[in-house]
Amino acid sequence: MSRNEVLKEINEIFIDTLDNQEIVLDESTQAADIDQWDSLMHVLLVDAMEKHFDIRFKSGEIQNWKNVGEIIDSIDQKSNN
Amino acid sequence: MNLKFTDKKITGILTVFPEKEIKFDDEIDNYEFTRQQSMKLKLVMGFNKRRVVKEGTAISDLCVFGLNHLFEKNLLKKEDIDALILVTQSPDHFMPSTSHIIHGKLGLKQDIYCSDINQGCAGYSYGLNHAFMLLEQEEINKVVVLNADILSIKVSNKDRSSGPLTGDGATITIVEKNQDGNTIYGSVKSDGSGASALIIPAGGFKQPSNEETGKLVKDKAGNYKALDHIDMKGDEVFNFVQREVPPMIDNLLEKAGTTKEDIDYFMFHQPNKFMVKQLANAMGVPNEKMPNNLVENFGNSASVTIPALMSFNLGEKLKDESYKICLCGFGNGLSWSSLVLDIGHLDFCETIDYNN
Repeated sequence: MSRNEVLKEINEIFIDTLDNQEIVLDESTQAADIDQWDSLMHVLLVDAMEKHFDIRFKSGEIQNWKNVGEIIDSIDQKSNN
Repeated sequence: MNLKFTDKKITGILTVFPEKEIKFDDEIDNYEFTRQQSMKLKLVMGFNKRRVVKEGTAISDLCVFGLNHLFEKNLLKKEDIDALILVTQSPDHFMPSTSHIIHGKLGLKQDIYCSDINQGCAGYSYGLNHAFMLLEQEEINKVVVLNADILSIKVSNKDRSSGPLTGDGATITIVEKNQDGNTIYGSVKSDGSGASALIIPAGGFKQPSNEETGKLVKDKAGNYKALDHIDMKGDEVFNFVQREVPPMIDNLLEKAGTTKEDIDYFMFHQPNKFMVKQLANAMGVPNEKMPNNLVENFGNSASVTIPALMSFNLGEKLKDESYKICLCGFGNGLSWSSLVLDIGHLDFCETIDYNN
């Protein structure tokens, strides 16, 4: 799956989880850019992405992502292994 | 810091939960969650139901109720209590210490060491460490460690990160000398530079409560909190726990000359279901060995969660069997602490309800 395809699917997960149709993610999007993206919703996003991509993130990843691009890096890495 | 104790033993655990139960389903409207979010939060975080005190109930009420239960059942004698240690961050008053209030309500002997310890979610092992140290004294043979908090009072019911999780309760742990030659290994760490990650900003002597500190203010995520309420920076706390706890346990087990495989149960503090699962995952410990079911049944009651988790999951089994248990608490301060010890063949291990 290309980075763009992953981004598109993550975008859908964000819209669905945060219940906000207007979310448009790019690789530089950070938590501070989206009002609903607090630490509690971050947990739901992690859970939804793990289920969707059938992967398991490490705690170190969950706590260190600086933006959406780094989330895609994590997913890419796991999907390629 | 590594700690080591010999010839000490836990001989009983009693958990007291207030009877009043709040169901997440009944308070969903406070938090502006969608139905889908609510259902997911139940599964992932353990938002479900929690026990809270009714207005007017103080921690001394929960502790006195539990201790009287033990006296009545002949499981503990008043005159045998040589020390009373209370771990709490919701004392009845700033002064005197609540352990003295409890001492007075129960009419305990004057020849006693009575003290409060101000610790939050790392507080169970702090109380035990103090008990172990006190038991080095010739005249101290039995220590009662009380863990009690009613922090639901200090949580905004419009704060979705703390509100649906915070519960109240108390536990009584009896610690005595024994001659089995067992060694207990412990570890404690502190980082005061993270003090603001989990704090009640107002209501102390630095900033007493007033009309201003009681005003609800909306944050970016849509939570309403006042300065009188618990303010938790969820991401900072999560990061601290996931960063510091796994290496602390590795070091502790190495010092104790044991391995994760040899530990029967990892009884860890219960901030929420997700965090406990992540810790188990990061440490390579199967979920069956690290129970995570306290929050969904009773809420997070600070230093009460570890002994409550043991009495809820093992209960009577702890009277007949003995297990090698690794305990770990982590929370405000920042503070994190752990112990490896054998727990079992207890005189009692049960959970009772307090009805006020």
